[in-house]
Amino acid sequence: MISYFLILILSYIIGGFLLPLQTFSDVNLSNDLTNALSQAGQYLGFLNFILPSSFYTVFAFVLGFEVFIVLFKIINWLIRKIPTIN
Amino acid sequence: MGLFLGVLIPFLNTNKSFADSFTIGQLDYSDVANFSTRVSGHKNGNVIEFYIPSSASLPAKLSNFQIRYSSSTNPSSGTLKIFLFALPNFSQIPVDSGVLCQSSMYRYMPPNTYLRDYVIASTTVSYNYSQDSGVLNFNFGSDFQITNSGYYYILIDGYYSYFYLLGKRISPYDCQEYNLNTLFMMQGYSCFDCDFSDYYLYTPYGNYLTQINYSDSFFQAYYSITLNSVAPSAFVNIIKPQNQTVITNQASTTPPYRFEFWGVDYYLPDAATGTTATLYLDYSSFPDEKIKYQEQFINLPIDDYTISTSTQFYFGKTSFLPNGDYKAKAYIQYQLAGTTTQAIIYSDDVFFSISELGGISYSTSTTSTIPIPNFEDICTAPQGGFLDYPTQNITYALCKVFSYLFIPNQEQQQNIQNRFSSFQDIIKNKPPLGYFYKIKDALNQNITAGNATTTQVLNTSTTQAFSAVFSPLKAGLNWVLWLAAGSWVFIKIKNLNI
Repeated sequence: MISYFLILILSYIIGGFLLPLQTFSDVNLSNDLTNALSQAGQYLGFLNFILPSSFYTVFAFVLGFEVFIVLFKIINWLIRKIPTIN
Repeated sequence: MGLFLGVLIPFLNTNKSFADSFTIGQLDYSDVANFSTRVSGHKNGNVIEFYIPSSASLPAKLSNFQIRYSSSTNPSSGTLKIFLFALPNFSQIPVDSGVLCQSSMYRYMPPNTYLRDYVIASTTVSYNYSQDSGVLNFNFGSDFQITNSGYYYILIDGYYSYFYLLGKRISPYDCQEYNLNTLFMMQGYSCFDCDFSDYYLYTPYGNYLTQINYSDSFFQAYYSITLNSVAPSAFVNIIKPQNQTVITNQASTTPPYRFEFWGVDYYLPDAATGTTATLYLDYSSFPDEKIKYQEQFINLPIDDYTISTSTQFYFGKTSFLPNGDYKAKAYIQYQLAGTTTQAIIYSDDVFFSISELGGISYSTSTTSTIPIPNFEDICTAPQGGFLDYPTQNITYALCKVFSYLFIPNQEQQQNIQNRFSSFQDIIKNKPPLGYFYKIKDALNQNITAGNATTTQVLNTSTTQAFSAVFSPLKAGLNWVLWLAAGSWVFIKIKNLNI
């Protein structure tokens, strides 16, 4: 009972955060774009025989880390800049 | 039932052709008495039945559904959900009401065969005093095909009980009990094939419950259902080990079976006769998917027989699989009739586990379900009464208390699972992450299937020959990549100037 209510409370908190998202309509990409991506995947498919699937994961990880650093620097720069704004 | 068919079948007979579109049945809002009789023939006012005759051109696609109802005498609002399900071997044999009254009654009601049910449409409806709803239009979507003649049913489900049709309340859940203290959340009976005299709807009236016999008409609505003819679709499915021919080489016929053969069921109605198709079956360790395997069968014959019927095909498993969990997907590359175009169809993912001695068990879900223990599983009952075994009795009582406090029961577990599943749906379908998932799915459609054809860079049959080299190489590369990524992050952080 206690575990259940704790998890339930957690789910309500998460639900609260997700509430704004629910107001959006579902994502819908045009068929042309998804076909193009699918075709690109077909070209990339052969890499599966040579490269492990972690190749994409590592690539996304490195990219994500770089983006994180850039965002971190931007936020730091803003924080330093704000006190000097007149 | 007789009256229902009597009214409906003549209508169907005048519309045998499904060439373009076809209205199965249409009943005017004013035709209340007849409709009600049809519905109450199954003692379930929120089910619409329709019949597809054997003379119909099948398969056909259900495309459209319309409903119209009048509002309640009490203003309210709720969610209207439309389910479609089919019981092709419908029988009027009475079944225990305790089973029937559950919301899942349609799935397990013997002797009928459950096909499928799913939410076709969901919309929020609101209604005021005695107001006509107008025509509500629901599309079935493109994925439901009628392939067999027989009886089909549409369940109109008033969700969360605040739902009325023509002033009468329908509440399909929890038919076993109601609570006078929570009058407006009270549930009404909704039984599929129950004794007429035993089941009632209850509707709030002042401080009392007004009992309405099910024989009263309460679902009275205009409806129409449209079928469109469609070309039959190609498919390929991996056959699971219920089929004994898949399993050999083990004395015992009880599970787990030894796994030596793959089986697929495929149907290629649009393939070119006289050509051959290539069948691939990719499987990998799961969930990490680091170790990948592939079976390939070239020259799958395409003849009149395989085009007109679905065909089962078995072939040997060539890889030795260590114990563990696996995911498999089959796909077939074939030539479309009348063209030189190659088409590829994919099966759904199948998940299976290899246990001791190569025994195999399948699951249909990507997530393993962990049974929730109840206190009987955890707590050891004392051998006697409290006076004889005081310590054991106290321990047992405490154990029960803590089990109750800290172990969610099945219903609670299901509730939590539903909530988190809905979060997952929101994240996957709404911006901004929805775009990421759409792109990922579009890319993965071909990347993960290893679908490189002769027109794209490299042929899978060529690469298959090198799998013995590439498989260990990929495992090594996997480590190298992660090691390189880790080193890069370490150096990056070390030299970071902020």
